[in-house]
Amino acid sequence: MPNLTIDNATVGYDTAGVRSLLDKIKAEVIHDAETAMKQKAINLFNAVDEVWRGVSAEKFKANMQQDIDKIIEALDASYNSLDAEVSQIAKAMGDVDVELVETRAAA
Amino acid sequence: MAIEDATSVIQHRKEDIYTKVNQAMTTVTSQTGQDTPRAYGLTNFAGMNQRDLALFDGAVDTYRGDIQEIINKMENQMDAIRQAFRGNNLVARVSVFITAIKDLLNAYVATIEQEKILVEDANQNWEAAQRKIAENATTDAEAIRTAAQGVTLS
Repeated sequence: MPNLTIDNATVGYDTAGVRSLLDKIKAEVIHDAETAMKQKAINLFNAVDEVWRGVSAEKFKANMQQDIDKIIEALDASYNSLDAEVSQIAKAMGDVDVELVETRAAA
Repeated sequence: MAIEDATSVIQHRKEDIYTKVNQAMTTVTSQTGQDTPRAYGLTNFAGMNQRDLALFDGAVDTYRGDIQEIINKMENQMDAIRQAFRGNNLVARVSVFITAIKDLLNAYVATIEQEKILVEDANQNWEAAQRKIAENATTDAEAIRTAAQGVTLS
């Protein structure tokens, strides 16, 4: 299981930590899932080839591949949405931090 | 794009997949001239024998299990993320993300099962067509034999 802690966060938000976390989601959740789907599909197609030949078998595999492509596309789209949303929140929190304490005017 | 919008996009994609499956379930005229369920536009359907069909089912079941395993692994990874975000309002966003992804993949798992059923149905129809063709061939052979017996050589 990946280490997904935000060690340096002080108030629950840490820009670098959030970025790191998003990268981990991309690499260890989305990418891993997509890679596994592709690899497992190859196993399925090889198994199908051993028991079923012909135009219909090829159509079956093509349709299965099309579904896989759609799912992967949806996974990427959903991750991009999460990335945009979380990054926006992190930026908003950063803006709050900038305005939280005003520098005292020099006497 | 807001997470709510992303959820909408994912829902749309799920519906797109369901539509595709439903379209695949439309009927076609089989070799026997009867309307039969159609599996994924399987014209020129060449079927499998029972042993191979069982192996095919097993392969699809294994693949479906593989996808389920991906979902389970993803859930474990997301638990870690929930812990990492615990205590701040990003948890809600991440939870929506988790739910959307799981819904999508679970819909895909259901689709895989549907595909297997469609192929099984198509295979049954193919077997029925084969039997019909064999019956016709027998009848034709009998007719030819009877006709041949009526032929006399003068």
